[in-house]
Amino acid sequence: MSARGGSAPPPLPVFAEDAFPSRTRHPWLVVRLGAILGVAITVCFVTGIVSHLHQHPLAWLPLPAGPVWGYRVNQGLHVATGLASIPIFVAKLWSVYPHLFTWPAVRDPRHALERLSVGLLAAATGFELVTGVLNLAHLYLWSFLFPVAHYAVAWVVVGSVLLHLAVKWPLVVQGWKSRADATVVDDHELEADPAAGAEEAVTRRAVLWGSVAAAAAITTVTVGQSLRPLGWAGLLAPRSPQDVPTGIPINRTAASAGVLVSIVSDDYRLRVGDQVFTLAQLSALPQVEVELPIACVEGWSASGVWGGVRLRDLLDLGGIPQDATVRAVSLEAEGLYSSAEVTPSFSRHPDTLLALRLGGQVLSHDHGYPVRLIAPNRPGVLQTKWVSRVEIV
Amino acid sequence: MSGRRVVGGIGVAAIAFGGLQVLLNLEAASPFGLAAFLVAVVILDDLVLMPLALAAGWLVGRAVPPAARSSVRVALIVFAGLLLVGLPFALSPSRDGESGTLLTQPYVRNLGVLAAIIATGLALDLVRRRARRAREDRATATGTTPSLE
Repeated sequence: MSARGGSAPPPLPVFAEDAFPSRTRHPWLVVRLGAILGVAITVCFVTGIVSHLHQHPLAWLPLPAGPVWGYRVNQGLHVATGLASIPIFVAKLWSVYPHLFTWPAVRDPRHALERLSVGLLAAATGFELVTGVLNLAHLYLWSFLFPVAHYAVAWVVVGSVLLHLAVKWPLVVQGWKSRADATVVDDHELEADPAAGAEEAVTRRAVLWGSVAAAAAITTVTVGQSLRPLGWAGLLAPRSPQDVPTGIPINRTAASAGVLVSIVSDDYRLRVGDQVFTLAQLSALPQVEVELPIACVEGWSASGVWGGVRLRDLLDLGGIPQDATVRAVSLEAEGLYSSAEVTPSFSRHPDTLLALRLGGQVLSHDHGYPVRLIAPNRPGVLQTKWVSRVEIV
Repeated sequence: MSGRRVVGGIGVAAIAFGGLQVLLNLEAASPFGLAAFLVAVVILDDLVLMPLALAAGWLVGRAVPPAARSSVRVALIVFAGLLLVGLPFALSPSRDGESGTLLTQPYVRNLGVLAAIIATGLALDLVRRRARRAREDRATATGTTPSLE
C-alpha cells in the first residue's frame, strides 16, 4: 500500500522496503479493525456529547429528566466502549505500523497532508483512550483539565476519522472486498490464493479475533461497575459498588472538600430563594422516598433509596418561579463541581429531592450530609453534596 | 468524488471545532500541556507499544510450533489488552484512597488470576487441536473421512 523507495537512500534499516516482511498486515485486516474501531469511536463520541450536554446545557436543547436510567446507560456505555476499544486501537496501529517508516517521508504536499491527517488520527485517538483510562485510575499526569481536553480532542478524533475515510475510501472498499487469504499486497491488486495464503489468513484471523476477544475480556472484567449482574466478574473494575456498605461509592469526601466543620455546625442553614430552613424545619416538611441511581462520569453507577424533600416544594416555598433555572451551591468553597445548575425539567421533576437520608439512614458526611441534591438521569458530579443554598441563575 | 470531498470537509470542520474548543478554554485546556501529552502518547504507541508487539510476534514465530501459533497469538493479545487496562489501576497512588471505594480490587493479583485463566484456556485449546490432528492423521492413514462430531 505504501510507496517505498526513492531517490535518496533510507536513513535507517527500518525505512528499507523489506524491513517489515510479514504479510499479515493486509488491507483485509486493516479495514476490519478500522470498521470495529469506527463503530466504537461513534458510540464514544455520541455518548460523550450527551454527557457534555448534561454538564453544559444549551437553552434551546433542554434535556429531559427521564428515563431515570438514561445517564447511567449512556456513561456506562461510554466508558465500557472506550475500554474495549484499547486492544482494537493497538491492533489497528500495529496493522499499519510499517507505513510510519515510509521513505521518502514526504513525497509532495498532498502526501504530507495525508500523513499529517493519519498522524492526527492516531495521536488524538490514543490521547482519548490513554487520558480516559488514567482518569479512571485518578492518575492525573497532565496540566489540562480532563473534561475540557477530552471533549476538544474528541472532535479532533471524529474529524480525522472522517478525513481519513475520505482520503482512503477506495482502499477501504478494496480491503473490505478482499479475502483473508489474499496474498498480493498492492494498491490495485488483491487476489485470493488459498494455497499460498492459508497460513497468512490464519494469522490475520488470529489478530482480528484475538483483538475482539481482548475487547470482550476487558468488558467482562470491568463492566460490573455499571452492570450489577456482572459485578462478581469485575476483577479489573475501578469501582465495585457491591463491596461498598451503602452500595454507593464516593468520589469526593467531606474531608477533601474541606467541609468537615461546616456540615456539622449548629449554624447550618439551607437558603432556598428568599426562605431559610434549619435542618429540623427541613425534616418537618413532607418527606418522600425515591429510588435513584448515582451515575458517575467515570462509568460506574449504583442505585439507592433516597429520602428527603421534593426540590419543587422548596422552590415554591422560596418563591422561585416555575420556569427558572436554579443553581444548587455546596458548602465546598471551591472546586469544579461545588455548584450545579438545575434546569426546570429536573428541578420540577417529582423525583428530584434535596435528600436527607440514604437507605433509611441519615446521610453520611461523605454522601453529602446534611443535604444533597439527587435527581434522575443526571451525572453524579451534578448531584451536588453539602448543599447550602439554591438560587436563581 | 464529491461525496468524499464533503465527508473530508466535514472532517476538517470537526477538527477545527476541536481546536476552537482549546482556544476558547485556554487556561483549562492548557494547549502546550495538551500538545505535549499528544506527543507523549505517540511516543508511547509508536516507540514503546509497537516494538514490544513486534518483539512478541517475532518470538512467537520462532519459539512456538506453527500449529500452536494462532492460539498463542490470541492468548497473548487478550492478556496484553487486560494488562493495558489493569496496570494503570494497579499502579495508581489513589488506590483505595480516603473514601475507601476507589480502585479497591487487588489488581496485580487479579491480573495473575486472569493470566492463569488464559493459560488454562490456551492449554485446553492446544490439547483439543492436537487430539483433532491425531484423529485426522489416523483417518488419513486408514483412508477414511473423519467424522464431523
